[in-house]
Amino acid sequence: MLGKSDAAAVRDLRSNVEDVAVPFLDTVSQPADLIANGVEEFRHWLSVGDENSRLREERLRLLQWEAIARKLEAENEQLRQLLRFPPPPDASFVTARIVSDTAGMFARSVLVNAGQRHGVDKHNIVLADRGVVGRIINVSEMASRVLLVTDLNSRIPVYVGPLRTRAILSGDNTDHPKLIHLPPNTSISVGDRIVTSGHGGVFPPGLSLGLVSATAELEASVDPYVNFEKIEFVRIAEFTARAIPQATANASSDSDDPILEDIGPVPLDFSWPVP
Amino acid sequence: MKKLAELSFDAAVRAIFPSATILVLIVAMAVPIRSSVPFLTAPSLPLLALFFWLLYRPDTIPAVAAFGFGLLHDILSGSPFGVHAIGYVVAHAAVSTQRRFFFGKSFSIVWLGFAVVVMGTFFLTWGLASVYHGTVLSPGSSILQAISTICVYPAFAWLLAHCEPSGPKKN
Repeated sequence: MLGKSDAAAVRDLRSNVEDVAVPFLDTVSQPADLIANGVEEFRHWLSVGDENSRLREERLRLLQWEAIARKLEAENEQLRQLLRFPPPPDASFVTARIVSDTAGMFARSVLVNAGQRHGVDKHNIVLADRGVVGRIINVSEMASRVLLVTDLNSRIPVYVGPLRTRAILSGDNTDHPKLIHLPPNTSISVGDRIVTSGHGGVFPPGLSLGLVSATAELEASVDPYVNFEKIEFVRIAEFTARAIPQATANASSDSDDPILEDIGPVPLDFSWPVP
Repeated sequence: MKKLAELSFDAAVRAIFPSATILVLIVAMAVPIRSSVPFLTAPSLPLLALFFWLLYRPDTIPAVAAFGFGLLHDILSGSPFGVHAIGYVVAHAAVSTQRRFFFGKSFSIVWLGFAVVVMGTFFLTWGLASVYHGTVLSPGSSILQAISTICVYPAFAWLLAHCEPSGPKKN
């Protein structure tokens, strides 16, 4: 009951223990990672021929995608200028290392070795190279706890597939979170891409989450892009929601000013700094 | 005088050794193993060590210590606060009160008793976590971890028995 009430004393105890444990875990996990990397290197060495062929094919595919991406980037910039769309603020990042395992049976969360001292705040989003990892739920001086998207308490508003069907990505403490609250008669398919929608104000829109792996009547299973067993480094990003002015209810009919439509939930802006 | 100091140091080391092993195992379980080689669900080595030391060195692990170990486990694993603390305390009570049953029994009986304690503890922690989350959690991972913990008991108990310099006290 004390834990559920999230009393300040419980939070402080967690934070103090994590502050003490994280530097030790950080040190101890490095030899473990060295051994794991050594095993992985040996396995790669055994399959180097096949890996080379696969990488050549992937490189050709990525070169094609690069061309498409550059074309879209140019088109995007033209459209932004046309619409006089204000540029989004740059995001600030902190890179951190995961120092605790996700082996808890009742929670899917990890500890990272960055805390308040490094500029991390509660509710910051956490990203890996392939997509969203989760968000910060607890911050101490030297460490932070990340709630993974696969955790039972994780709920993320998303768009699914090319039709951008709205749903909620709900963790269930397994490796395959579920899509819930799908609209009735919705048509989503295995392989549809899932991205954050930006609703709710925690995650900015457009961040990759995973692919639909199985579908059922009113829900679907998801294969996250991120391999939570293997990630080591994550980026903790901070962003702020930007408000867009809403329409005045009593705009004059003979006014020259265009009437802005009520846009509903406030969309968020987020941009990666261009390397 | 020197011999007295040595004996006191030896006694102190023997007294804290069981708690130290449990503490080390709790922290070790939190260390991530990042590999694409599939692993079985990790056994609950702290619970295994707790059972072992309560059986052979009950004077070294009071109930308060078991509670503290459980809390530490909860904090490092991100589990609901108190779930493992209560589990470890109940396991402590079960082993402490039933310890005499194992006097003079074969290893198989001890192993069976360990299996009962593990299944009971995992059922309790699973139930508490389900109550905490307000939903029935999938018991699959709990069952898998309980089975892996039971399976590694013989090897790990042998290791613990031979780690302590003077070996476990006989029942």
